[in-house]
Amino acid sequence: MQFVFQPLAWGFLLVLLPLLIHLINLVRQRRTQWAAMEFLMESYRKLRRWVWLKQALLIASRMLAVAIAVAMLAQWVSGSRWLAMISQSTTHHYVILDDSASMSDTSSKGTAYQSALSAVQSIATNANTQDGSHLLTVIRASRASLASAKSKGGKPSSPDVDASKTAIAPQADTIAELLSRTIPADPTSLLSKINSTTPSSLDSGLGDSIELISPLLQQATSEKAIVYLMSDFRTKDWSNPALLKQQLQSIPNASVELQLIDCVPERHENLTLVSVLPQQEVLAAGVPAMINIAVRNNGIAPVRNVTVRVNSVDYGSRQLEPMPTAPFSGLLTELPPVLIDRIEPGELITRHVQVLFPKSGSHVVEAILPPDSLNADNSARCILDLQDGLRVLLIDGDSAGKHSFFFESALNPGGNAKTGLVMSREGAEFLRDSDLAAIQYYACIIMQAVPSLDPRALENLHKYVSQGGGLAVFFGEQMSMADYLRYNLIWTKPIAAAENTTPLVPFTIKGPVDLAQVAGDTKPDLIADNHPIFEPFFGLSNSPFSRVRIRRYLELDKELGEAPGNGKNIGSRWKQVATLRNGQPLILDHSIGQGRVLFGLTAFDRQWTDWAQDPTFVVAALKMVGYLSSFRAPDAARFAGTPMRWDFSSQEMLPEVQVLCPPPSGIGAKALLSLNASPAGETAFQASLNAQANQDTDESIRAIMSAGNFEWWGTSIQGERIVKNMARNVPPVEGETEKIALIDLNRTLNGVKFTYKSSESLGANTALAGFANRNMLLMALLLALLLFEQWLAWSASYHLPVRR
Amino acid sequence: MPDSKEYLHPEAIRRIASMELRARNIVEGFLSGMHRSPYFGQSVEFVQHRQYVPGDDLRHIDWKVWGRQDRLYIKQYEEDTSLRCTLLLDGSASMSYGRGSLNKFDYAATICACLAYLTLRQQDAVGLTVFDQKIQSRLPWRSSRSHLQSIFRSLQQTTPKDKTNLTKVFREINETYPKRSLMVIASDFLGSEAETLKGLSALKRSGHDILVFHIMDDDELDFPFNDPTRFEGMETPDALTCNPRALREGYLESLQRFLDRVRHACASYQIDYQLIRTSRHMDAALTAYLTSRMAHMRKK
Repeated sequence: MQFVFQPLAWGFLLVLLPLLIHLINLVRQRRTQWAAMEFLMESYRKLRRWVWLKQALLIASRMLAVAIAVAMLAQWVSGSRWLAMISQSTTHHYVILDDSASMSDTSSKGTAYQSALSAVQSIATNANTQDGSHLLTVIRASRASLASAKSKGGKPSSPDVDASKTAIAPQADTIAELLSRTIPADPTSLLSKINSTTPSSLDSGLGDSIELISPLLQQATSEKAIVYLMSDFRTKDWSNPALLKQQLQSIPNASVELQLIDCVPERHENLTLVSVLPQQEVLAAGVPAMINIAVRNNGIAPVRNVTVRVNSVDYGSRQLEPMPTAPFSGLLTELPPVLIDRIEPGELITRHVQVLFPKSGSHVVEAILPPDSLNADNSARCILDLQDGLRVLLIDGDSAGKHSFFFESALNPGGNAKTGLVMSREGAEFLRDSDLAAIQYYACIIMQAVPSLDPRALENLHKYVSQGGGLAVFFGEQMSMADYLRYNLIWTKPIAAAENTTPLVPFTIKGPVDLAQVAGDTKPDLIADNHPIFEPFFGLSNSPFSRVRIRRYLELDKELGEAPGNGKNIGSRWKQVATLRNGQPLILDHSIGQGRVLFGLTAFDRQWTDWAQDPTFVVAALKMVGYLSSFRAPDAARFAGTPMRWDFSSQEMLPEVQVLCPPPSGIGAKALLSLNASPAGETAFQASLNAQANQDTDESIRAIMSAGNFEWWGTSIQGERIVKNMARNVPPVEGETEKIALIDLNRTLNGVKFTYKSSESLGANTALAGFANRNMLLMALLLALLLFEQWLAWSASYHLPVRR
Repeated sequence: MPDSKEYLHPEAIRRIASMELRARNIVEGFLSGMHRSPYFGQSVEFVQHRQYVPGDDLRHIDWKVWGRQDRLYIKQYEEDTSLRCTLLLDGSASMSYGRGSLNKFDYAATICACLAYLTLRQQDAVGLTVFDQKIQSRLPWRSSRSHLQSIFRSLQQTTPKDKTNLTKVFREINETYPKRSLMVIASDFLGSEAETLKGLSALKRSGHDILVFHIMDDDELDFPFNDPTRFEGMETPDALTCNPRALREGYLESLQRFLDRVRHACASYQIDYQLIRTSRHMDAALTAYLTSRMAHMRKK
């Protein structure tokens, strides 16, 4: 026998009270000399048995009445099914549990997720107090999101709900934490698994979960269904209300009750670490790297004196071993904290911090905000996979390499100046004769004055760029019009064998044009646009390019000179990096696949421009190399849930890989997963950890849904441990704590019948409902018992008759 | 002028210790409240003449008749047909019960005193017998005023005790009072019901006119006990611990049946029966007595 208020069960001792009173009354008897004893004895002899029976019944009824009253107060919870046997009704409680990172929002009563779990507990507990049999299905939104991504091949959720139903329905068996489980009298064991879970680090919406249960609801038409959406109802979760509304409308209305359970009573102040990312510049061992740390105030009040702790973790040592008990297996160094004086509500502030890793390795930079109501978004990290030097390939149209002089001087000045760059100069035939792997050895390629390219070289270049490589193309004074026409003919066409159909060049060249000099025009010839390669010159009051002269440039065909994003040619997005005084583009940034191509529409020749002799060229050249090499950088930082993959050579490493995963919610011990890399080609292995792979063990799923630093440990052929880090951060959108107003919710879900309540009131209401339901029965029983007791007492002449 | 009935209330009577004063107060109060009473006032009036015979009291010779006719005649008055009233008072232990102003014995004794006073005031003869299972004390008929003191003394000196045995007692009374008289019995009749009825029957067969005052306490008639109580018999060794409420109905039913049987038996024996509560005024008893007296006189 169980009670909601267990301590009140001691009240059952009061059951003995009527018996005690009866015994006391017997002891407190009076003595009376009595004359008419004959009649009294006659009455006694006649009524003795009946009086005793009534007395016993009376005491028993009073004891039972006390017991019922105590049971009402203590809220008796019974596992009896006899009521269900009578009613024969089945209620199926579908609980969709939002376990996104924002559900770790903390209030005085614990996290929002704990409130949701308490609400689930209340539902299960109080289901027993209600009529009929009850089933419980609990689905975590993160699991549904991962499953949805898996069934759709990793693609984002499709708005086509109907099309996905048949594929998703079978997954409920494996995805749901609890599926159609009968709620026992004591639901503790049933809920133990779900109660042991913590919020994930994902940005998982409720839509996938709704899609998951929708077929179940349509199949089970004979039962009453209650769908609980337990979430924190942030505005960001309702950014696509039409889709959510469509998903909710797919739930059959007839027998389904929809309850939106808000687990966060109010909005809290919150600072979010939006990103920790290296700047797009040369990243190499021994070269200082600048890390951008972006912090957003997602609260409603300004925040002052924010201290951001920054840690650098050096993995350069070769004696490292996995350390599951330590935050990092590398050497952790606490850097000077970053101080932010004031952040206005909604403001995003970016600060830079310089880190230096002397040795190559997969290093980590972590930033941590002070604790607040939402701790999940208070830390973020990035990975710096640093090599001893960043290799730059110069392709020079001149066999003597005279066009590369300025770049070689700027990128590798010699002496004590260490840029971290390793320069190589080759002819155009190198691109034709080398395979892709050899070209990918270089972080970026700078090509100058190459009059023509072999199709194979062009194909290699296209693949190189598509897979994240960076290419800079400059022209030369020796190039003829025929060369430009060849450019127009070949470079602007899609590569036949390439997966990516975007051509290397998004424009056609008309030919060289002299930049007219206008007397009295004070505008510099080169005007830098907002682009990372000119980032050091931002904010200067005077243009640093005032001394730069551009005399000749290449004029483009206007037809392809459309602004990016206009919808006409989405596949070839490009933007202007630098502009001439006359408004014509000087440098263009063109994206192909994961890589970038920078086109400099001039030649570094005295007759064309003297920019290469200006100090600003050195800065821009270094930034350009850093920019171009940044797109092929391995996962510096991704969001939690993003698949992880490690490609390595089968000739260098063994296939066995261990992954040291961060603990869920940053609490507890790290899990150590063992993976076997699968062959990927003749000489490569590929180890992966993602939702798409058949890695449905609890540990792997927990790891995928976690944020933090994932240490991938491999073993070289020589037996050395090799570590590669991958950072997974909480999506910063999870830090946006603004809640959707009820009026907006009503407007958004217009046409969807639902009830909205807080998790606390749900517990109270369900408790009350159960209490009322059960207690109505007990109350009726109590009233009947009291009536019986009164009748019994009356019939036992316990009330004085009216004197005649 | 105070209400005469005030003198008849048991609470008022209780305050008067002297039985004589009690009786006088009650009777005088009772009589002063009776205007043109149909029961009283003709007892000393002339009835008839009869011829003188030797031995007659010379004081009753009508000398006016002798002067006119020279014959001796005796004037016969009402007083010559005087009443003999026998008061039978139950002095058993059960009569000592009472939680009110007067217990049953006090109440019954006061009634007897009043009746004696009233009887002697009317120059009737009155006798008193106090009994339990036997006759405790007995006073013969007398009509003198001094006899009243003997009666009062006897009443005040009696203490209720022992059981009741009416058959035996009434048999003895029949032997003691052979002449017909008005028998006034004041008792609770708590004893053997059969003996009681048998005794009344025997008494009636002797030719007496009988007036029964069945004296009962309020407690006995209403049984108002609520709390658990141990009842111990006053004339029997029985004892019972019970919840009185639970037994009340059965008790009252049983008691009522007893009262009905006694009342029915009295009616069948042509015995005047009066159930008297000890909490009620005594005028009921006096009125009942006077009614019985008138009936007795008519028969005579």
